[in-house]
Amino acid sequence: MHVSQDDFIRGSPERDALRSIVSNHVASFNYFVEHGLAEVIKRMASVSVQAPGTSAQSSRIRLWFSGVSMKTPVRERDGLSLARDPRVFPRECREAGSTYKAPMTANICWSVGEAGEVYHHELQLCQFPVMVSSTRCHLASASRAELINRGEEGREIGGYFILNGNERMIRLLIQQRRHYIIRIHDSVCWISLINEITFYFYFFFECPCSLGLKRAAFTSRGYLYTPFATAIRCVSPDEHSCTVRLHYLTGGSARLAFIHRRQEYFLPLGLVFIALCEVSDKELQDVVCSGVPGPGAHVFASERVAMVLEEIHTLGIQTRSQALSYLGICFRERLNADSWETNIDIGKRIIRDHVFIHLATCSDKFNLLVLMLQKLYALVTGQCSQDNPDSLMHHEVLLPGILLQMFMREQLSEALIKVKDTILREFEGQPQTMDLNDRERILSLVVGSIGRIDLGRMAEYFLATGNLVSKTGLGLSQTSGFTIVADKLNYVRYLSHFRSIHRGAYYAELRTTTVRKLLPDSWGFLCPVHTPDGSPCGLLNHLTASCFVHISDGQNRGLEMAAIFRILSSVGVLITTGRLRSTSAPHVLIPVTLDGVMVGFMRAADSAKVVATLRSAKVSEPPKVPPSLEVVYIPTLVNRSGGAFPGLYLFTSSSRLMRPVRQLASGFIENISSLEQAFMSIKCPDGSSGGSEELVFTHEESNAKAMLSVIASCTPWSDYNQSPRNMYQCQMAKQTMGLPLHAFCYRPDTKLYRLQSPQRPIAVTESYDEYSIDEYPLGTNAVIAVLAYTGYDMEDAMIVSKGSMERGFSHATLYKTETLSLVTGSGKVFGHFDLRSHSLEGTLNIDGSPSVGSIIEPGSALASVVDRITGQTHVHKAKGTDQAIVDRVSVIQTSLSRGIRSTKMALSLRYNRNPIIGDKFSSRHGQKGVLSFLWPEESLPYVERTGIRPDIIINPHAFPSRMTIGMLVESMASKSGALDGACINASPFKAAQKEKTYSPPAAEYGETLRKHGYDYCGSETMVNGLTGEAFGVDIYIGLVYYQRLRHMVSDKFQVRSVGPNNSLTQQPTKGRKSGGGIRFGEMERDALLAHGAAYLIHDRLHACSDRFVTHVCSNCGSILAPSLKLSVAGMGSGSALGCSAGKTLHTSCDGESEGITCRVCNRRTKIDKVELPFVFKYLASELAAMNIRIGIGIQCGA
Amino acid sequence: MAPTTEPKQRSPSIVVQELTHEKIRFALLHTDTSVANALRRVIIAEVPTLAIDLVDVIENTSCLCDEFIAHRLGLIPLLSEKAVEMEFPYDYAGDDESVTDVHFELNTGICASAETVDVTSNDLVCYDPRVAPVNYHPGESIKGKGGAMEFEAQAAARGPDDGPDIPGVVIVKLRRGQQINMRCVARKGVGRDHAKWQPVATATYRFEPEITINEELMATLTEEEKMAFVESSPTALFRYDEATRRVVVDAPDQARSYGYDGECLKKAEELGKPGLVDIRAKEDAFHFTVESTGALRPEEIVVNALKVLERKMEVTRGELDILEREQDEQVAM
Repeated sequence: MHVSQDDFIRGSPERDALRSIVSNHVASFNYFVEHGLAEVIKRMASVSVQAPGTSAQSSRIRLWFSGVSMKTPVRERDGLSLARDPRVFPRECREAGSTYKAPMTANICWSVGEAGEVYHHELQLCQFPVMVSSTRCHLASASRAELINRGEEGREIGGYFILNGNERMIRLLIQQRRHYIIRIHDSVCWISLINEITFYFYFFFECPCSLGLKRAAFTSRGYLYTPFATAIRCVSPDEHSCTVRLHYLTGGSARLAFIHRRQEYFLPLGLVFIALCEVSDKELQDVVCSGVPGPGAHVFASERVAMVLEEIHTLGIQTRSQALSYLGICFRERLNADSWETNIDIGKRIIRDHVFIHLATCSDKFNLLVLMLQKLYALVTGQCSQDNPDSLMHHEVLLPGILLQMFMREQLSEALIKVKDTILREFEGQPQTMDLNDRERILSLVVGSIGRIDLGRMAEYFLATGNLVSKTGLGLSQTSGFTIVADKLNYVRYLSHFRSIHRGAYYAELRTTTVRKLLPDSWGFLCPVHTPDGSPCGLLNHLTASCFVHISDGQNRGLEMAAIFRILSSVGVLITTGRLRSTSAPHVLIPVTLDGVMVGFMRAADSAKVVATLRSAKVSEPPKVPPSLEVVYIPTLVNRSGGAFPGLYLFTSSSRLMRPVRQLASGFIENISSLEQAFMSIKCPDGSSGGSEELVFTHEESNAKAMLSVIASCTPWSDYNQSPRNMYQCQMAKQTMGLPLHAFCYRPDTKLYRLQSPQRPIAVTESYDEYSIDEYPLGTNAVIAVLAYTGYDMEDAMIVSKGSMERGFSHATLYKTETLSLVTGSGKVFGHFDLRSHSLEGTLNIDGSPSVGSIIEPGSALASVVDRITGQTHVHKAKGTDQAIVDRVSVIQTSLSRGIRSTKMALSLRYNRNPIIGDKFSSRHGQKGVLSFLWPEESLPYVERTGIRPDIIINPHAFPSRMTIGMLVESMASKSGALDGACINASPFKAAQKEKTYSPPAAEYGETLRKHGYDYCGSETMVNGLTGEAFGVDIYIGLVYYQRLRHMVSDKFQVRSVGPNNSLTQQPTKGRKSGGGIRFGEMERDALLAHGAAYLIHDRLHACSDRFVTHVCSNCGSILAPSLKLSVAGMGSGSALGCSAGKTLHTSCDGESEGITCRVCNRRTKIDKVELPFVFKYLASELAAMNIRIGIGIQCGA
Repeated sequence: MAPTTEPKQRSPSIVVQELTHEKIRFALLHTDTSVANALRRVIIAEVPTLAIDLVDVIENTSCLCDEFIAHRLGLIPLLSEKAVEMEFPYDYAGDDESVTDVHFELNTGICASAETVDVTSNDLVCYDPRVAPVNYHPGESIKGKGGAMEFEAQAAARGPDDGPDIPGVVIVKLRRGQQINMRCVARKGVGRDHAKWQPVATATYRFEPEITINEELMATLTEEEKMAFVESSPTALFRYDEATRRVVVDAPDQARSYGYDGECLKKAEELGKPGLVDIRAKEDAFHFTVESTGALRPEEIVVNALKVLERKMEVTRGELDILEREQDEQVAM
């Protein structure tokens, strides 16, 4: 096997660090294609079609899928492409504006009758979008050299899809943790769990044969419902999820609620108990009562269980089959059940598909329901408190792969139903010719109906827009915003997309802010610094650098379970799984659950041993239990009520957030999850006793920066700054111009910024190198003097040295790509039909494209298209107001959908964006400023001793209120680093790390400065460049890394003297693009009024707006009536007014009033000219249309 | 209004302390800050030099874009002795291009090397033997020694001591198959218009410190304290004389490196002896350092600057004369 000598191959540390950023996305997509799809197929119910008019099983046809698989992206064979390599690579998709997708095939199987022959046919389901760098991508294991050869970045990490040439990624979403019973008290909390529901269905036991349909507000589900409930989100192995809730009613009874097709159904609890297994009332009472903690709880529980059972007995339901058939009767219509299914079958289906879908056996379901009921009673009696549904403890992550899996599950089952309908229609249409055993006939029906669905297009639509079109809603609380553009504005912004995690679109419009709060539970998992300001604040979070999402393929689940059981039983846990709960379990025993399965009980005294054994088994080599095992031990609170419900909850499931911490006893790294973290004692590097002397630490943080995200950990000395400043920096880093990518020549992105000469910062954090940000730097080291000089640096303005700018400081370029697309066969081609007639010679080439390197003035020709049919040439002109240079022209032929092909011309234009007044800059400490003056170099102050002139002068007032001490430290440290010729480690929390030689940065770098003959404090004597005299005080001068932000005056300035006016009102239009003005509104008017600036108001609101001179009849006061008399022969009264026939419209017949006649008064005298706003005339016209007259009184003079 | 008193007559003088081909250090004595600063500002902003100002791009397949390379070309310092004979393009109304323009060509040909190749200022082909990039060694160009001309200016400006070890200014790097072909025009300009016309890297002056030690107070210090005091200044300002057991000001040239950092004053305060030393800047002595970019010899820069200043003075005097005459005429009327 060929071993690559590349420095960026699998296993190298930088690559691993970078890959870890997208690992959640890539691994989860890999899970989807390798296992998820297969799991969906495996567990998908088959559909059956019965020939109409028959009822025999032999005339029934059963259809199902088997063996779905996904290939790698290849060219669709259309007979036109001449490429030898059938593979399609991402670069081609980007340039062609197509989708990076691979064929997905499936086996459709069907059999006729009960034991008929099984027919197979493999068919191509669709072309499904492929995630770049996943196992289905050609670049999955490419070396750096190969990647570069393929027109990719050398450090391509993937994790995104390419849809119509755009890079989009699925955003991580937070959802409720699976298989953990959470206790809810507040009605508001319900919303968070079931907000997509529109209807509620009640099964009132009073009306047993009908469904009680009632529409209810969220807060009230009926007069019986109390705010108490427990809920569990159950997930089947194919990642289909279904939440089950248990509501407590005022009478003491309970209802089990679940959602089916966006509708909520409530079942009497007793009915479910009986439907689950044959159990006597006494047994049930004992089982429930035994596990309820607290004094008097036993009586409380037994009374309520009796009530629950009595409720169901009044319906006459005593046995399991009665209960199941009752359910079947109720749900037959709702489930569209087949006619041959019995009520009991339907009842079983309800239990199987909706009640605790993660559990296979009824006894497990029964045990879990008992536990849920016990928790509910504990909540009602106040033995335990409610859980916070906004806490990260109770959350897990919706991964891209799992979302796609859920999406495909629905699409495939819909497809089966469509196939069923097609066959049924065929049966009904031609009942005589239809033969079930006609293989070819059935096959053509199946292939035809699946082909019509076009799953690929639906998947593409979903990924390209983020909008979910679904009947069930997939159990998610939002239908849009699932995907975002992975824009490459700069590298850190790009990286941060993959680390972002959203709480859900639903919460964005919630008026309460509780969900946005930063809770201590998210410590170490979500970065407290890296969340945006404004509307998404607290909802859009970012994972910490070390946090990852556990993804398990579930392949070795049996073995893992067995290993865990072995260890549990070896330390004295009573395993009861698979059996009905033994009634003898006394309530001193603590329940043990594993992934939502009641596994057994343990003594509270054994708890420490059990937990310790499990934790050491996690880190043993090889691990005896899965290293992802989450061990949540919630102890019983002695002499206290409240707190969480005691128990040992074990989780091995996917989608949990995990992070590494170090075990204190063994020194091994253990991965912990968010629920167990809340019940663990983890030592922080500088946390000492943690506020409680009794606390016994079992773990410690592996790293001092474990709480920070990738971007937040790149802020130097962020521990010296006031915290909001670090948040601003996280935002500003994402708006910085830098080097976003290397493959500029292969990227047709619509907008790219490029800083021409970026540098590595002198003060760098460890993370900076860890994530190879040096390959994509985004700033410049600049000499900064902190000095109030001339007033041009007031209010966050900054003076930039003209000389520095002219030597290249922050020079930048903007790349814009415009794409012209011509459909093949439309007769239009790129080119010049006739060069001479359009005088484009010298500007455009014969193929209609501009020459690379040519300068395009605004409004000049950019490309030309010839219509071969009409022979006309259409010239596309350059938009905007800036001069551009043609950077790249590419012409590519692509196939659109349904065999339509098109030719695309992508024109990349380059705009010069060197700093000018008004451009925005910022340091890495949330200190942004605007360039206010390019100061001549000879007039700048210079350092008396060395002659150094600053690049930037900022005002000292920027510091006291903002307290960005980190920036002052950076200035000094970078200066000493520059003197030493070395980069400085600027990682935060260095004091907390176990370094013996730690000294505060001010002391450390002060010493270096002193060693080099500089002032210890970083300040120096400076000479005023204007007067030549030294300043009276020393000036703090040093080096700070400055970022140039993308907000530039060239994109924002708006100016208008004359320009387009609205055709209806004659007022100036708005909008920068169209050369419009800025609204001079009421408040502005008020300000001028207050100043008494009457002439200015008149100028702005009238003369420069819709000034209009018109005639008014001072007799009748109308501005509409006076008009030039139309003199048409034979119009009657016209001649009486002295207008002789034959005079034209524009001929004036009266010198005094220019031939204007009031048509109302029929007079030519007393017609005056007035200045009016045109809208007033418009108003008058509109009112006239409604028979309302506006009259103006006119007075002359004075 | 005639001036009532004659300004005090001063006789400024310049004492050159150090002169290399890159740098001149001189002391400007017996004048005041305004004159010193005027000289400094003129050196930076108003001494004309030559720099590439126009670039015609014929072929550019390198990884850098046209305007970026053009900017880099502009920043290459050119030997500018010819500048004094040339005209500013915006002042000149005649047709003779040779008075304003100097032509260059940069044509690398298609790069054939497997390795990445540096295109440097040595690859510029100069058409005027007196104008060339600083440290120009055409033999070091990509194309090799072919067409190497003898450059008078080069020979004149550089002594025989500096060999070809000073590399040319890197303009761009090329890989196989890439090519650059550009025609450049250098023009005369001043640093005020664009930094590329600045003849100096920096021109600064320093104030001469006047250090007086209060010997009485110093005598009260212990030996350790004296040592500590000497150590306190980051630059070697004082010296503890073992023989006399006194603190003395170190050699006066060393004292010029004093950064007015006030560390020793702080130390004196710390020792409880404020006023131990008195340091103040002299008001009529300025120690200039002028570092040339290589475009002009440093002494030439200073002389040219003085000439520019002189011309400005003449213009001002001319204006003043006119004003005076007008006033006289008014009085006469």
